[in-house]
Amino acid sequence: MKKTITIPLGSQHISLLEPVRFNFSCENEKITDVDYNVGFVHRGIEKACTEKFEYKQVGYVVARVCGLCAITHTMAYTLGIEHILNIKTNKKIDYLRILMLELDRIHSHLLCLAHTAENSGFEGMFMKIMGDRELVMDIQEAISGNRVQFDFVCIGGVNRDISTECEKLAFTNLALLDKKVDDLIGKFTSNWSTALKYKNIGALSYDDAFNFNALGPLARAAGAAIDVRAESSILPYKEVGYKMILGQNGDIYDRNLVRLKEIKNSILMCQNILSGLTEGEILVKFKGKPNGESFTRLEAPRGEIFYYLNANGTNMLQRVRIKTPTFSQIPGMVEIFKGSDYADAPAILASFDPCMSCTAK
Amino acid sequence: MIKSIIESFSNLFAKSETINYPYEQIAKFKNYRGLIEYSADECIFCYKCEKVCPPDAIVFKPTKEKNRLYEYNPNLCIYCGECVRNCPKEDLALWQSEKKPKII
Amino acid sequence: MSIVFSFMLGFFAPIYGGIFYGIDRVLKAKMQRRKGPPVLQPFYDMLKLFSKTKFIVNAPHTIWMIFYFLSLWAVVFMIFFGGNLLYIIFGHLLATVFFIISGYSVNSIFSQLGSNRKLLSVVAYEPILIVNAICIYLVFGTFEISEILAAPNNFNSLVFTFLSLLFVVPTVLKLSPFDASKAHQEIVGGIEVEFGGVFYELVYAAKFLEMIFVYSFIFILASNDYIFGTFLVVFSFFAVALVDNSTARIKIDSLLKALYMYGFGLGIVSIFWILLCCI
Ligand code: SF4
Ligand code: SF4
Repeated sequence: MKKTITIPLGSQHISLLEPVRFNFSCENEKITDVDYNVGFVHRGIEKACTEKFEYKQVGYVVARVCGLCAITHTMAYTLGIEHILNIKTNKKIDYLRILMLELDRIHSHLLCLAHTAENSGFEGMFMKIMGDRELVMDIQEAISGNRVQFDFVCIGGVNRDISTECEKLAFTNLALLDKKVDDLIGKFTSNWSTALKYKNIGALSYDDAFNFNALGPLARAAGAAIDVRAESSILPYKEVGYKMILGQNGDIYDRNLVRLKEIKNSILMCQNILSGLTEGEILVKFKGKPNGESFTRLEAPRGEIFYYLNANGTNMLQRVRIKTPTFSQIPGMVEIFKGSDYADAPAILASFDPCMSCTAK
Repeated sequence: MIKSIIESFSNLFAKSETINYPYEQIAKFKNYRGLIEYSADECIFCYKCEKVCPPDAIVFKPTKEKNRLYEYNPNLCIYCGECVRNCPKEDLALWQSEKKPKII
Repeated sequence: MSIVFSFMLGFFAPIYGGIFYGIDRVLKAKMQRRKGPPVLQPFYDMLKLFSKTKFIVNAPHTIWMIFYFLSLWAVVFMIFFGGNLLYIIFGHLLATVFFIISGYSVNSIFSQLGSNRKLLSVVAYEPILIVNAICIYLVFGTFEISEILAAPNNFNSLVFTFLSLLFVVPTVLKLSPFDASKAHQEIVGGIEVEFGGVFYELVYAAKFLEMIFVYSFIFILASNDYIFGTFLVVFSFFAVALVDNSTARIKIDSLLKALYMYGFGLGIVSIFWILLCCI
């Protein structure tokens, strides 16, 4: 007789935001083996970028790779193409870009926290965090004019300047959010049931973080100092008050805390940027067609994203290659699932903050 | 847990954060990116907007009366504003309004 | 209570139970700062479910569930006719067992896992109910609800019983933190997952009956002081909703541990409290 039962999680399941399929082989709810399939939302974006759209439009196309880190994708593409075209942006543009990136990080992290809470059966917390998230969504909407797909960054600069009204709104909302995040840290650390659900669950050790190529908050929760913001100087992160935040155990609890503390750091960065913003042009004029190749790394909310661009002097690019953070997190994810309870699987999955449409493109 | 309980209790008397949507309107921000509007009188038919639009929401179609008729599909538009930015007669021939498309 | 009145109470239980459930949902929405559904939402749901195709996975599955609903309804009738507490507990156990069998009878892994977990949670809360029934017997000298409701108020000796019953309420109603048997995000509702249309409406209405079942236990603790009894019910209603809103779902083994340690423990304390201090 078969000893194990097979529990499918996906491709449609209540606890999933996006289609992915896991097949857990379980011995009485203990997971022994995992089989996965991520390619449910393949849209051929890389191909479209080289065949259908001109290089000026590709920025808007890659934004559609992912709804949450839309800004990051456009940003990475734009930085790459600017490198090829040899465009030098000014301080103001860089700062505005970091501002949007960090706002994006805040709302993505909040979504992940909310989703982790929801998947561990904590509806009240879910609603609360989603409510708080509106604060930062409002800032983004006021600045960019769009709510989800901001289309804020364009080649050579940004599309809109920030008005004094937006600045005021941003300051008040960020201050409010800062208090709420402190409150959330208190609530996440002093709850009996979340401690049962998060502590020592789904732990990724320091060594495994390196072995399985973990990125982003996942690696940082395990204590591994991996963050593109600290490693590259493509955007002036050091000037605006970036600080590396590390956890210790690499369990869900630590991941939540790392995320919460990163939100606090991001809020600080945004406030620094907003108070230090100077007058200046927001768009640099440029001429010519791209010729050459570039590699860009950028820290998305979920980890490092990587863009390879190859242009041959025409309006069409020759190759666009996108590597998203979730792609490199899957081996670690599979390893963590083995040996944990099925009851924890949704929470573990959410705490990885997987983005399947990013991965499948 | 105690903190959450206290908060849940005090929320009973707080104002709700959600609104009764179809009956109450969502507050829009200033400079909200809405539908693209066009004025045929001012247009010089340079077709730049057609060329830059990523999803081909703007197309100029030949008709019987006119050899090129502006056609805009709000359901394809991604509200990026690229067309307006590239129009030589920005704000006169093509501009971004704050209107929302009709829900069909 | 006249027989007609009792009959009416029992017969319309699924209806006013629905209103309680609607109130519960509004309350929960308020706690989460949402607008929430209208109070009559359960009935709108009912209308919608009636209009759906009647789809049956397999015959035993549905038949067991109908048994579950009917026996649960019978239990509610027994409560309103002032029946025997032990019969009521075992009647409810029987109904739950029907439900569990129904869950096992389909070839869906979520339904079967739900049955497993439901079985474990029954193992966890049933002893507590029985211990508390014993406490009630020790205080009032009878298991008959009609006699208990006529006895003078003796809540002092039943304080611990009340506390221990507070652990049972969320387990039976499948509310956080003791909702592992339903576990929306893990096993998609457990046993409920395979029902559809009218048959799901029965499962849905059974929730209201379960509500009446557990809260009537709390109501009788106040014996003839009906106002105090109502207060107890409202208080526990609030307390359970608040805790539901501020806890995550704990795993089924933690649930067993928690219920045995605190729920059952409080039940035992209650026995000693009654024996040593109150008689
Ligand atoms: S806003 Fe963008 S998508 Fe819409 S018509 Fe203009 S260019 Fe096309
Ligand atoms: S870019 Fe402006 S002027 Fe040119 S065709 Fe479009 S609307 Fe007319």
